[in-house]
This record gives sequence, structure tokens and C-alpha cells, in this order.
Amino acid sequence: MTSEVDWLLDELAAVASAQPADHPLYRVDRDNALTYESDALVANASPTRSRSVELSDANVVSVSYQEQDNTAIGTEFDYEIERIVSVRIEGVHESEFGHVDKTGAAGVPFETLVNDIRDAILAERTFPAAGANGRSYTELLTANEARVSSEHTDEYRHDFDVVFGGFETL
Amino acid sequence: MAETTVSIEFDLSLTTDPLGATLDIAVPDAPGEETRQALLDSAEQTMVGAQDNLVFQSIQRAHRQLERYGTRNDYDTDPIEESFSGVDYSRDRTSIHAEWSWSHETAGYMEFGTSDHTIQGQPLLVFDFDAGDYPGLAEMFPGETAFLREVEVSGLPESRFVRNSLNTLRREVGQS
Repeated sequence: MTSEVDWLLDELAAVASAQPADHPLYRVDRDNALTYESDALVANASPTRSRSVELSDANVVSVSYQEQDNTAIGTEFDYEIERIVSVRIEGVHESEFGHVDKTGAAGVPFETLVNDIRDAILAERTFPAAGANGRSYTELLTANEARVSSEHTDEYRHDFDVVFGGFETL
Repeated sequence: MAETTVSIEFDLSLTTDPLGATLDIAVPDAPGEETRQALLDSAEQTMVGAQDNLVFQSIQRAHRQLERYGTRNDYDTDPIEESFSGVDYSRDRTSIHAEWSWSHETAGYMEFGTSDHTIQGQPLLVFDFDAGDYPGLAEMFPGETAFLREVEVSGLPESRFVRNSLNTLRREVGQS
């Protein structure tokens, strides 16, 4: 369990509940193969999930912890830390039984979905309350934005990293 | 003597087509042209000029991670390393710009991973294969050439070799 991942998924709850009922957004903890369906937590039956099935159920935003960097500061040996969490947004076009549709008629415009999710995260860019175990953060940034949709014909995908910057009191 | 502060703007972004990165360092306001050029000189030295510079280290790190990923998943990653374009570098009066990329078409798939997918032939896919390696196929196609309408391909795991190297580079610059 990583507090940053849990916190991000919590922050995205509002985006998920604002989705149209026919085209839900599932939130996934990629580290533990946990899926949040609206507000209920559903453990994935198989951790090696077959995503084509999932993406025909809903659009998916998934979060996974990547790495931490420590720099010692001060005389009491505390750390200045940076933690990186990867966020991935995926969907499949409605013509392939997914929930992405530019017109908004048979799905959600992917552009809007990405913007809503980024906005929800960046709204908390100062002093995000994502820390635990002595970690406290002063800021978060997004980095390495990557639109990978053009690589796949019917699949939409947008990746970015969230960089948490702060301190760890030991 | 009055103190002045000079800001250096630093921007490092990921590019996806081709997979790579662009780096911009700008000194928009400087007390004098000489100061500006001196700052840019030193930034240029650290980032791309000196031996064992930061960009070079970052690329080395990406390659090491890619090799580990290749070993772990049994992929040949050498063609991707060989497709590395080198660092393109340019400088104008107020800024420096560098970019580097891996042009191999599978570089992006390995960076981001892919899901399981189906490849459909138009109308057929043809494979030459070794009967010893694929006994199941050899039963259907004794001539060691298979004709298939479609194949199901399992996905690649995500490697993040470029994004991790950029995150580290960003940190190194923040600290120096």
C-alpha cells in the first residue's frame, strides 16, 4: 500500500462519479490489482487482467507507484524526498464496444476525460495531503506527458507521471 | 555592489514520436550579454559539452535499464539501442536546445507496454518457421511455412526506460 497511490485514487473519486452512468470510469490501483467501481472496491479476479474485457466495461484510470529519491538534509538527518507515481488513462472507441466517443453521444470524449483527471490532480498542486509515515509534501508536478493513442487504432491512452516533492522526517 | 538574480529556465519533455526527449535551457533576462553567454556556456558544458555530461549519463542509464528489461523478458533490445539518433544540439542567443531519440519502431511499445492484441492478415499472414521450435504448427504446415488468417499476440510489459532516465536527469539538474 502506498499512500500516494491511495490519495490520487481518492482525489479522482469526484471525476469518476461525474461520469455518465452508461460510461463509467473505473479507478485501478495497478500495484495491487484493485479496481474501484464507482465507489465500491472490487478486487480483480485475475491480476493478469485481460484489458480488452475491462475497457469494454468502462474507461480506466490506473495509478502505480514508481520510485523514491532521497537527499539527506540538515543536521538531524531528515530527507528531502521525491516520489514518482505513474497515472495512465485508457479507453476504447465506441465502435469497438468501448466508451470513448468524440461526439459524446455513445461515450465520453477522451480529451475531456484527460483534462478532468489532470485538473483534479493539479488542483491539489500545493501541499497535497498524500504523505504517510513521516512523509509530507509541499508540491506536486506532472511530468512526462505522453499521448500514445496514435500508436493504437481503437485504443486511447494517455500517460503521465505525478512527481511529489517534500520531506520525510525520520 | 547590488545583487542581481538571474533565472535559468529549464524544460525537459518526453516526446513519443519518435520516442525521445527534448531539453531547453533559456536565460531570458540577464544583467548583461556577457553574463548570459557565460551562464549558457556553463549550462552547455554540464549538460552536453563535457565528457561524461548529464545528458550522456541519462542516455547510458536508459540503455542499461533497457538491457535489464530485455534480459528479464527475453527480448533482443540491441536494435533499439542502435537506433539511437545521437544528441542534436543547437544554441541561439538566449537559449540552448538539445534533443535525442530512439527511432526504432518498437521503442515506444517497450517504453509504454502493450496490451494483448490480434494481428489480422490482409488476407493472410505468412511465417517461415523451424519445425523443431513449433511442433504444433509443423503438424498443420509440414512445409515449414505457415499461412494464418490472424495471430493473437501477448502484450509487452511496460519498461519506462526513457521516462525513468528523464526523471533522474530532472532531479540531477534540480540539485546542481
